[in-house]
Amino acid sequence: MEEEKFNTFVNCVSDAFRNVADMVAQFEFKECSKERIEEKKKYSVVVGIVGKNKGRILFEAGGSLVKKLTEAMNDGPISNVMDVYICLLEFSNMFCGNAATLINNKYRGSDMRLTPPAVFSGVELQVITPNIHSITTYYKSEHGIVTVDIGFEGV
Amino acid sequence: MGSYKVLVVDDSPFILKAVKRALEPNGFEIVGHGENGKLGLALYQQLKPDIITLDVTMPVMDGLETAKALFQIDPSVKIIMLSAMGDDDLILSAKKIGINNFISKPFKADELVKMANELLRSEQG
Repeated sequence: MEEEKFNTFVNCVSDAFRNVADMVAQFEFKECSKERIEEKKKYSVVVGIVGKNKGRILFEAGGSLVKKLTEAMNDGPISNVMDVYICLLEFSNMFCGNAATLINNKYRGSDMRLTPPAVFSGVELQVITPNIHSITTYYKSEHGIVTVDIGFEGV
Repeated sequence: MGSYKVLVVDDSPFILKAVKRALEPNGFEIVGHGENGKLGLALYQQLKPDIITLDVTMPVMDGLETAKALFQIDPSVKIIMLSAMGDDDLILSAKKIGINNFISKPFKADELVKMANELLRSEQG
């Protein structure tokens, strides 16, 4: 995928991510410069990209923000961790799906499809994808930092 | 007046909750939930709902295949397709099958209620 398409994809993901966050959780996320998620407990969601261009999207957030986000999606407190995962998976599915829609409409024939998301949680969690070129965008909300990292093979 | 029966066919428990939250206070009752198209088909024949909300990407049998099978069983079935993916090609494929009601996720409760009411008023699904 040439650089222009890559940048378009990054912009589409950013727009979709903000729209979904606004609609689902009424959180305002603003892009910011590089920030670390300071919390030890982190959640990472990986969504694979298949079709003409292969890659993956990695969404990461700290425990406090994920709690707020999932409670907003659930319309109330969440008592078990499985429901947290379910909300996070659906949230990621929505913003990635919306972004893939924009890409497919803009670049006819790209036939971008997504694999089902996978969620990971842990303390000091690091998800590494070797052999992939990626761009990370950082967002800040009143509840914490989110990073969205978009990577493609062979860029 | 009784409520209208709705079958939710979607592999996401979150969407099931969201559809319930939107429709149940507005004269609809969620009578069943299928996590894939195959289950959805079986539940449709068993429950005879007034409306089906149908996801596109699901395991075992996807939403488009399910819709085709539903129209074969009942040409007047009323389907609302709910999906995070809503590109032109997908919408065209859905329209070719006969689905004219498409809502992109995340959806607003009002949007789903309005579409469900319009669909019930229409003669064709």
